[in-house]
Amino acid sequence: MLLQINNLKKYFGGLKAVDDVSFNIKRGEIVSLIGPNGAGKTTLFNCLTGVIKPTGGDIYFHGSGKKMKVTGYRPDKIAKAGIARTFQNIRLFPNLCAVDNVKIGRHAKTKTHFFGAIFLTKRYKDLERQILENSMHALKFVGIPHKAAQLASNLPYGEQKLLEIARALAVEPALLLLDEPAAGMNPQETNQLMRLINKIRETGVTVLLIEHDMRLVMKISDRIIVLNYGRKIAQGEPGEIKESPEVIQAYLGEVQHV
Amino acid sequence: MELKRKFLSNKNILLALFALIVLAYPYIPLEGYYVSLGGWSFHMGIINNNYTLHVVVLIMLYMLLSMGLNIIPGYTGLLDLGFVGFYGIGAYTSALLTVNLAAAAFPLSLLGNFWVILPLAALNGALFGVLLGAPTLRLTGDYFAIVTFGFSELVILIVLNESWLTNGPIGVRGIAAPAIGDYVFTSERAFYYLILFMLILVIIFIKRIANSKIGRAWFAIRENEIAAEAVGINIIKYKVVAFAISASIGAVGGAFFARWMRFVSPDMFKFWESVLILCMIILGGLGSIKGVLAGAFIMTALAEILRAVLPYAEELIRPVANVELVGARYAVFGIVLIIMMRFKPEGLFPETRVIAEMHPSTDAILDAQTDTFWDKRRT
Repeated sequence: MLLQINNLKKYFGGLKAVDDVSFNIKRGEIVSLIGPNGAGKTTLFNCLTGVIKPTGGDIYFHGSGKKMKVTGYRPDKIAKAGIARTFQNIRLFPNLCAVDNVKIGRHAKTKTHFFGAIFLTKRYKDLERQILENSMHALKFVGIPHKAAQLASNLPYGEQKLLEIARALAVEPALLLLDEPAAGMNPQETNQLMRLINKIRETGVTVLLIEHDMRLVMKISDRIIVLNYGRKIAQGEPGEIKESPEVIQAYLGEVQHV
Repeated sequence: MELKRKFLSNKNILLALFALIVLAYPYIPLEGYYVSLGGWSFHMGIINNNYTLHVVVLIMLYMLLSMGLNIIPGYTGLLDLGFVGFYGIGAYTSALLTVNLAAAAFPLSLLGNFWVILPLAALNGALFGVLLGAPTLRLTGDYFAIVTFGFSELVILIVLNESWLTNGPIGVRGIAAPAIGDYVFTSERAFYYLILFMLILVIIFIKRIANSKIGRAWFAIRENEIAAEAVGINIIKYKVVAFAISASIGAVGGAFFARWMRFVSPDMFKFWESVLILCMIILGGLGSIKGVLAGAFIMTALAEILRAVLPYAEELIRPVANVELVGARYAVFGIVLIIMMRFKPEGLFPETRVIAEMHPSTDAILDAQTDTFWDKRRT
């Protein structure tokens, strides 16, 4: 068990964006969160990463080996606990070069060496070299090491998405949340992304993703969780979900008998 | 061979020459030499006489202050209109400690020593930076700017009204000059080397901090706060750190100022000073060290040149119009800034980031980045 969500609720006034959702994620899984637009997927992500505070319910995270309640934590604390994320609308540091973007991702994993930084001690220099090596490694991992020196804002869309993943991986998370990673990608790029997500799982990182591209979802997910109107309506393996009448109804509407 | 080429490149030779001139500047013997130019004859001594040296010290003081302010708008992307408050706190810390404790018995007299006061002023500035920053740095944009503006006004009001401590509007006079052992800093030459030394230390300090984890966190906050939080950066903490460092550099500048002028009064730390320093860094290029230094140089020098030139201009136009031009210095600053904003909004020596913001997708930046990138990293 890696992540445990119990009766999570998020209400915006009368709107129940997330309504009593519970599910678990096991270590090493790839889990997809799907549902029609407005089903509450991104709200759930935002509750998980501390961007918004849930109205009720608990989130337990087992990243460091022991059970840890992370409900209502600040985003930076959650990142430090081992949950990293990417964003639906890309949020890079646009005017820094790609490798600096990833270096900032190493923030939580590096000690602050105030005096080392001022007097340029050997230890500090070694630390900085390590950060650079780790960052370049993350860029190689997602396949854009040759873009290290370019400004993030000058990268093409697909590579910006990869850079965001590289930055999230630099946090060395136990759980990686991907918010619509394939949105706006062509089929070839989507195939690359699928290989990348599998590769990420092989390094021992658990992946939870929101995605609308059903081909990708059905191909790589171990399990799928379906939300509609803030409620969990189904959960299971891709095969089961494809056949589930509730899911079909949520996506295609109710069958009208005349 | 490789080594020789590296050290004897044109750039390094120029740099060494520049450093030599800067170091020898107050002692270059120019007294008695004249240069003729189209019937006019200029006395070369004007380049480093006592008055010019005084202006150069002032320029370097403003360079130091601009470096300190630059951390807030340039690195973390917040607008700070209250920088002069920290400058004033540093100046009064230094002035009051000197006046009250320099003549005291031994252990206390240490507190009146300039070299003890410098770190104390820095600490005091940082303390007030944290006191102001911790509750207000949750505010964003204009709201934060207004709070900082209010802070600097508050500092002046307190200095004006608590006259038991600060001597109120009359100011503190008779502040002793700094000294090393028996040597007392009395000449402008001595202060020139003192401020040069302090400025170099501050530049090295800020450069190294900006290259470290702390600097990267600042840039991340400037670029995108939500993304910065998502990678584990405690935004409030790093903003407060930035504020404390900026404030302590302002206070160090103030501590020097008090011991250099040997007199402080509240109207030296008016809001106008904050705006002036902000103009310097905008003129030079927000966030770029070279730009900030250039901006401070140009604005301070321009102020002095205008002070000398405007009375003549007033005489010249008297037959046509009887106007007072001496107060028009500030108008000239305004015009300079308007022209800058129109033709080079990113400043004179901009950071690549700012060029990118002002002229999106310039290929030149891209090339510049790739060329210099690996050189930079190799060190």
